[in-house]
Amino acid sequence: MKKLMILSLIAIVGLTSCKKQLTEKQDTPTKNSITKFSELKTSESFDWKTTNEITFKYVGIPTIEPVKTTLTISSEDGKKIFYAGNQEMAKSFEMKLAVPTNMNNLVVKYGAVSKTFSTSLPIISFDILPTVTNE
Amino acid sequence: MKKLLLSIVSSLLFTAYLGAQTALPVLTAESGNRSLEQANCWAFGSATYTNSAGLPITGSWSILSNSPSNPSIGACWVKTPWMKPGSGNITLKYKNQAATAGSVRRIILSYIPYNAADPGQFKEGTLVRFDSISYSSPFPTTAQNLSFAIPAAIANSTLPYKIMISLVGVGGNSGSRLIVDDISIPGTYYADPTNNCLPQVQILDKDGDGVADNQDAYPEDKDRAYDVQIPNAGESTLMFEDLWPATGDYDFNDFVTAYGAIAVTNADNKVVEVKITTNVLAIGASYNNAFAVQFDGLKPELITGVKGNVTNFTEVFKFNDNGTESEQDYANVLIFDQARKQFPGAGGSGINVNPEGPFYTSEKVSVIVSFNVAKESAIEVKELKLNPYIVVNQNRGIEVHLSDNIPSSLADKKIFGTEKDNSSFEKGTYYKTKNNLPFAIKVEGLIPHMVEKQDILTGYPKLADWATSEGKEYENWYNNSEGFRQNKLLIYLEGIK
Repeated sequence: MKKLMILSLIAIVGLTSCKKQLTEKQDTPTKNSITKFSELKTSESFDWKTTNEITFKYVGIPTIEPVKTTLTISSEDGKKIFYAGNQEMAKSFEMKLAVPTNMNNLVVKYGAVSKTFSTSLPIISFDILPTVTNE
Repeated sequence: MKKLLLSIVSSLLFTAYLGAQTALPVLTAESGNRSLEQANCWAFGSATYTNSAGLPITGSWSILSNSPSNPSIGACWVKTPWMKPGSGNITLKYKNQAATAGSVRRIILSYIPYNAADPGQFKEGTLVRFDSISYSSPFPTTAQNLSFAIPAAIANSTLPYKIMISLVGVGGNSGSRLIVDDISIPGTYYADPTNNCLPQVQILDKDGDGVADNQDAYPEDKDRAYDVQIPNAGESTLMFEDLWPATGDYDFNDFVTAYGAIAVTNADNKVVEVKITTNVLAIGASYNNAFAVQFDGLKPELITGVKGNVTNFTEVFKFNDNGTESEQDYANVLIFDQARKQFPGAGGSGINVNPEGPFYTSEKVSVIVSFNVAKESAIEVKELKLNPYIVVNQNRGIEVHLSDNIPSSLADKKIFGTEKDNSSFEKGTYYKTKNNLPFAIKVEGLIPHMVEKQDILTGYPKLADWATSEGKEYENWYNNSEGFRQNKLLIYLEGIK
């Protein structure tokens, strides 16, 4: 009898817990169920920007004589130029870029050197050091 | 005769320099990193740098051959960048790693002429061997000073050449390599590391600003060279609610404008001017707002002039002589003082927010803000932080900015923190509600805006997921992808997709 009572008690407690969980779940709307902007709630750190901030670093390389040419940072199709400047090869340079969230890659060109970088990287480091190979 | 003509033509091609006629430096290997030399157009064929104990001849590093078991000239070598050889002697230091192992060690010198017709990447002509020295076992294990005369055929030439030094042998192994150091070749450096290390060529630069015409957005203007995207000011759609500090219906169409700004920079990368372009897309409210841009952190004195803005409809705004708004700590530029005046002929309180139309096209306003480029005042693009905002209904103290953008000096500080606004000057947080909701949204690119009184989440349902995930999900919520837009609740003006 005592055993039966304990089992019944466990069953009741268990059912109550299940019901509570169910209720709590129903109280939390799924994301897509929010249809009013006023019901949204985000943390203070969320900045509402549709751009990602990427730190771009050009790493200067010592040169035999002063060398300057155009450094460009653009979208893959070249239509959006995020930076263009007359860059001394030996001088390092850094700036922050704001890249639209719907853009996947950036193309960095320095003279004849061209490299593509994913915009998922928070820092892009570009240099024109060749991979050490034999000709 | 044909040969002579070709030679004259070639010489004309190389009469102008990008570079500064710098003497080719002695190759000491002291950088310890061949790639630094390669970036300056030296080349290495199976030759490496070494700092192993006992191997360097001078300093901490020397050049080390491969196992010298192949006497071929191409087995192991060091090649100069394109250079104009001078006269005199090529000198270098040589020793062998071990006195024995193998029968021959040989250092061979060759020159390579430029050949523009060469289909290869390096445009090298036929190699001409001009000198060598051979050693039989036992090889020298102490430094030998070697000297080779530059051949008369290339000495003091106006044409570019490479000098190749081959380090080869017969029967050697990895413990008996050739070591060389301090390679000195009289002549001037003539390679362009930014152009696949080909010889320097004359650049076309009509305005003489140092930026080649084919890279210069203004090839005939020495004061301008590049059009540069200002961070966070690419072509975008700005959408405002204008009841701040109260919240509204969140259709974000009270004031909608296309907005973008570029900086024009000179050859020194200094900002010459900023071009701000706007095109009002919709006014979904009764207020007549003004639109302005603050240059955060920049003193008004850095600006020399403002052109193209529309400021003649009200007396609300006062200006400095340079066209910036007066009594501001940072430079503020009014773009237009009355949004409604941008729609000549449009009537009623709402413009371009009714799906049935009529639809109006606004006047495009392009404003040019000129900057002082004097050395002590000039700024670079990375110092530009543009902060666009509206001044609500001609009330100068009421501004609405994108969230966390700082208000101008003329914003009425007493209003902040009232009604639904949760701004905090102490924390540096502005124009957000307690739930961190903004009063204005900026989206990259041009997107359709909401039909009047329709909550933005109904037109862009993925915006809810983006916001609640704090930007982690659906970061492209504004894209024209399946399920991302409710088109019947959106106004697509001409040219907007």
